[in-house]
Amino acid sequence: MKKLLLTPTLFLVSAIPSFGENEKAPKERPSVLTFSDKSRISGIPKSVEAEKKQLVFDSSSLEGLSVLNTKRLLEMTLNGAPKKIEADHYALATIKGHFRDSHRDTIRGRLTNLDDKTITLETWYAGNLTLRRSLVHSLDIFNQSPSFYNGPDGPEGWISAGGNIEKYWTFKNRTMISKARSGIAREVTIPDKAKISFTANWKSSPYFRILFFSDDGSDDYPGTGYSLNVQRTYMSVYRNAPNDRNNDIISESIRNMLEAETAEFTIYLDRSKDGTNAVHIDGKEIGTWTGVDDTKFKGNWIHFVPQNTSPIKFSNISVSQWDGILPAKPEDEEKEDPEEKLEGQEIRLANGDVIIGSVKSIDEGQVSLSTSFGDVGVPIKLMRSVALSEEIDEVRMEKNDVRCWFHEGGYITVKLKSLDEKTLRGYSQVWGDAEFDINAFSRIEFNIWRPELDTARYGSSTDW
Amino acid sequence: MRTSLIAGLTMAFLSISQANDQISLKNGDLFFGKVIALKGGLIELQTPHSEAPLKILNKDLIKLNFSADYSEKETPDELPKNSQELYLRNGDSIPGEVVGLTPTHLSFQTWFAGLLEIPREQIDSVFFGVTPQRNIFRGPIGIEGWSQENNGRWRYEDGALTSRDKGFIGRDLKLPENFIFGAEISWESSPNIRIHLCTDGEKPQSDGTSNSYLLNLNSGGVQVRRVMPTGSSGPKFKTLITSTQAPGNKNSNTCQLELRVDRVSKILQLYLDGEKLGQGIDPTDSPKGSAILFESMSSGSSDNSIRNIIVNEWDTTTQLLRREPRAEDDLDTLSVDDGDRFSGKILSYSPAGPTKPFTVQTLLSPNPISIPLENCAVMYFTKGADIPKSKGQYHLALRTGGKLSLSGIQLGPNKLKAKHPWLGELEIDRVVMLSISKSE
Repeated sequence: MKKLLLTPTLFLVSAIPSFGENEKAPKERPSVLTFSDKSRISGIPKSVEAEKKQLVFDSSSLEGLSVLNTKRLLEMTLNGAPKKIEADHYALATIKGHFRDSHRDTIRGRLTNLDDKTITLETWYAGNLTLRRSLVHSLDIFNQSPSFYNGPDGPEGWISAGGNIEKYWTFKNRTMISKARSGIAREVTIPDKAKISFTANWKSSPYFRILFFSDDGSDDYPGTGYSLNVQRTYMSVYRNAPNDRNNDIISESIRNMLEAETAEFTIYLDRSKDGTNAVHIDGKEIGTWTGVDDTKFKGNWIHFVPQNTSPIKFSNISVSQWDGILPAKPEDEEKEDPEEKLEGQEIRLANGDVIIGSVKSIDEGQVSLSTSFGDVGVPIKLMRSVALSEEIDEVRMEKNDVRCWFHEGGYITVKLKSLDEKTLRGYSQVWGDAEFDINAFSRIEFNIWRPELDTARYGSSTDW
Repeated sequence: MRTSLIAGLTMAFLSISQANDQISLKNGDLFFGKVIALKGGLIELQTPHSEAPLKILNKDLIKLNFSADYSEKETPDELPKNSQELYLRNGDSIPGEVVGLTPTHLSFQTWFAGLLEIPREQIDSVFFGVTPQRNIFRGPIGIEGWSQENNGRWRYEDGALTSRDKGFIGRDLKLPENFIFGAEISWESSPNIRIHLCTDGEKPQSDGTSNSYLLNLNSGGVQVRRVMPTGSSGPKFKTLITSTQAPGNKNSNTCQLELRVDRVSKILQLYLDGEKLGQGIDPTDSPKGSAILFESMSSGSSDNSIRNIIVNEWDTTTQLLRREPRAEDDLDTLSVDDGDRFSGKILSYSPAGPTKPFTVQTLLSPNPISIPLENCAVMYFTKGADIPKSKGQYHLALRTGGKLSLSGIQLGPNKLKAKHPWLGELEIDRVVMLSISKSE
C-alpha cells in the first residue's frame, strides 16, 4: 500500500515556505548529527540506508563524503522549510502508544475519509495517509493549525526575568537547569483544550512555580495568569484572571513527593466556561477545577520559576492538544455501565453539541452522519472530535524505528527504510508504507528503542 | 600463532576503543576517537561511527585533546619525570635535564624528544626541582563521584564545581602522605570558601571536619589551620600559615591556590597565584585522612567555583622549586635554594662531577664559584639582543607539563614530527602529548 507524494489539491490555499524573504533559507543551515559518545558533526545528509545502518554525510568538517554508521546515532537535526498550509480544517490523529512507551505519535492533515476500518488524512508531506482506525487513539478537528511545543532544545525562544538566560539557566540534553531564582519563560499558543506536561528534578526539595496564561514573560510575577506552586509537600494553584476575582483553585498536600527527587506534572486545561481542568503528578490526580472561563486570558506565556537557589531541572516540556477527556480513575472505570452506551460513535461539535452516530461519507469538507434521528450533514470544520474504538491495541516496536519530529510540533514513529535529500521512506503498522517530504521534520531520532542510549539522549538524574 | 594473532587484533581493537581523543572545531563540531594521523591539513580519526577513518579538516581546529588511555605505553602517571624545566624566550617550556653548557649552547636532555642543543640567547631560564609528580586527581569532569550532604547546593557546570549557598561537597581522593593540592578558585562578588584536606570521610562528620587541615580563603586573605581531633585538649584550631594578601584583584575574580602537604615532615607550604605565601609546621601528629571537602560559605547571592583541581604526589625534589624573579637582564643569574643569587656569567656545567656543579663567574669574586646542582633553584640567561618571538602554527601541550610551538605537524602512530621555529625539526614521543591547539 505504497503512498506517493501527492499534490495537495484539496487544500484551499497553496502551501508556502514558512521562512521570510530576508531570512537565510533554512536549507543553508547544516544538519547536526549527535552520537551517544557526544560526537557532533554538522553537514548535509545525503542518504540513509536503514538496513545497512549507513548514513552518507557531506560535512564541511570532513574531507569528501563520509559514510557513517547509525548504530550509535542519537539524532539528526534537519533545517528544511516546512510548508504552511491554510485549510478549512485541521485534523489531528493521535496514535496509540507503543508497548509501555509514553510517547504518542500525532499526524495532522485534512480529513478526507472515515469508515469502520480507516481514517484518511490528506497531508502536504506524505500525500494521503490511510490510518488503521484501531490504532488511532483519538481524532480531533481544529479550525486553526494546532500548536505544539516540545522541548527544551536550547535557550532560543526563552527569556529570563533576570535578563541574562545563560547566567541563570543551563541547557543541556534537552533539559534546562536553574542556577538561581530567576525564572524562565516562553510564549506558546495554548489551544482551547491543552495538556501541559513536564518533568521536574530537584536535589533537596521541590520549590518552584509554574505559570501559564501569563501576560508578561519578562516578569516572574505577571499581572494575569495561573500559578501552580510546589513547595516541598504542598501544591497549590492560584488563578489571577483579568477583570475577575482571584481564586485559590487547589491547595493539596503532596506528601509522596517528600522522598522523591523527580516527578512528572501534567496540567489538563479546558478553557471553556464549563470545561474541567486538572493537575496530575506522576499520573495521579491532585486536584481539578471547573466553572471558570479561561478564554478571557490573552497571555500565552509559560514560566518556570525556581523559588530558591537550589538547582531544579525541567525536561520533557510539552504543550499539546488535549481531547478534553481526563484519564479515567480506577473507580470511574468500575462505574461504567455498558448498557447505557448508545450505538455509534460520539462526535463532538464546535458548539458543544454531541452527536452519536456513524459517518456515512465525507465529501468536500462535509460529513454525512447516520444517527438514530436520521441522516445529518455537518461541515468538518464544525466538528471538534470523533470518539474512536476503545479496543486495546498497540503499535509494534520495529527494529529500525525512528522518531520524526515535525516542525509544527509532535512526531511520528516510522520504521525507516531510506532517506535522501528530499524524501524519507518508511513503514508504519498504522498506515503502511509511505514517503515523507523531509522538509516536514525538524529532527529525526535514531535508535529510539535502545534503552542503553537513554542516558546519552536524555541525561541521567545525576547529570546536573 | 593464529591465537596470538587474534589476541593481538583484540588488544589492538581494545586499545582503539579505549582511546578517546577529542577534537573540537570552530563550528562546534566535536569528534571522539583515536587520532591515527595528522598531516597535510587532515586529522585522521578512528571512530566507532565509521568503518574508515574520518578525515577531519584541521583548518578550523580549536583543540585536539589526546586521551590518557594509551595502552601501548606507560600510563601518564608512569611517564618519566624530570625535575628541571627550561623556558625559551618565546614562551615555550620543556621538561628535561641539563647535561651540558658551553659559551654558546645548553644541552638539554628530554625523554620524549631526545637531546636538544639550544643557543643560550634563546633560553630565558631553567627551573630546578620542578618534578611533575604522580597525578592523584585531575578534575572535576562532572558531579559524579562527589558526595554532597542532603542540601545538594553544589552543581557542576563548565568544568567547575559551583555553589552559591552554604554547603559541602567532598570526595575521597586517596590523598597520599605527601601531596600537592592545586585549584583555581573563582567567585562572583567576593571569595568565601573553605577547603578541608586530609579528612576521614567525604562528608562532614557529626562534629564537623575535625582532625584535618583547613584552608580558608576569603576577601581578608588566606589561612591554613590544623583542625584538632575531637576530644583533644586545647584549642580546636592551630593556625599554621596566615596571609592577608587578598585573593584576586579588581580585574580578576579568580586565583590559583596551591597547598603542599608533607605529612611525614609535617611541613605545609602555601602558594597563591604562584607566589609562596608561607610555610607552616604542624606541631601535632598529622591527620591521617585521605579525603577532601569543599565548603561554600556563600550566603546565597553569588557563586563560588572551583575548577582545575589537581592533586599530585609530592616528592622532596619539588621542595627545591623557588620562584625567584630575574635579577638583571644583561647578566646570567643563578639562584640557590637558600635565597642567595649569583649574577654574572654561568660558565659551565660538569655533570660528571660528584656534586654536578655549575660554575658562575660573578662580579663579586675574582674566581668562579661552583654551585652544586642540588642547591640550584633557578638559572636565568642574559637577555641579549632582542630576537623576534617566534610562534609556530600549533601549540603542543605536554602531559608532563610544558608546551611547544610547532609547525608542519605530522603525527604517526608513535611519533609526532614537527618543526619548532628555533629548535628545528623535532620528533616527539606521542605518549607525552596532552593536546594540540591552533595558535591565535
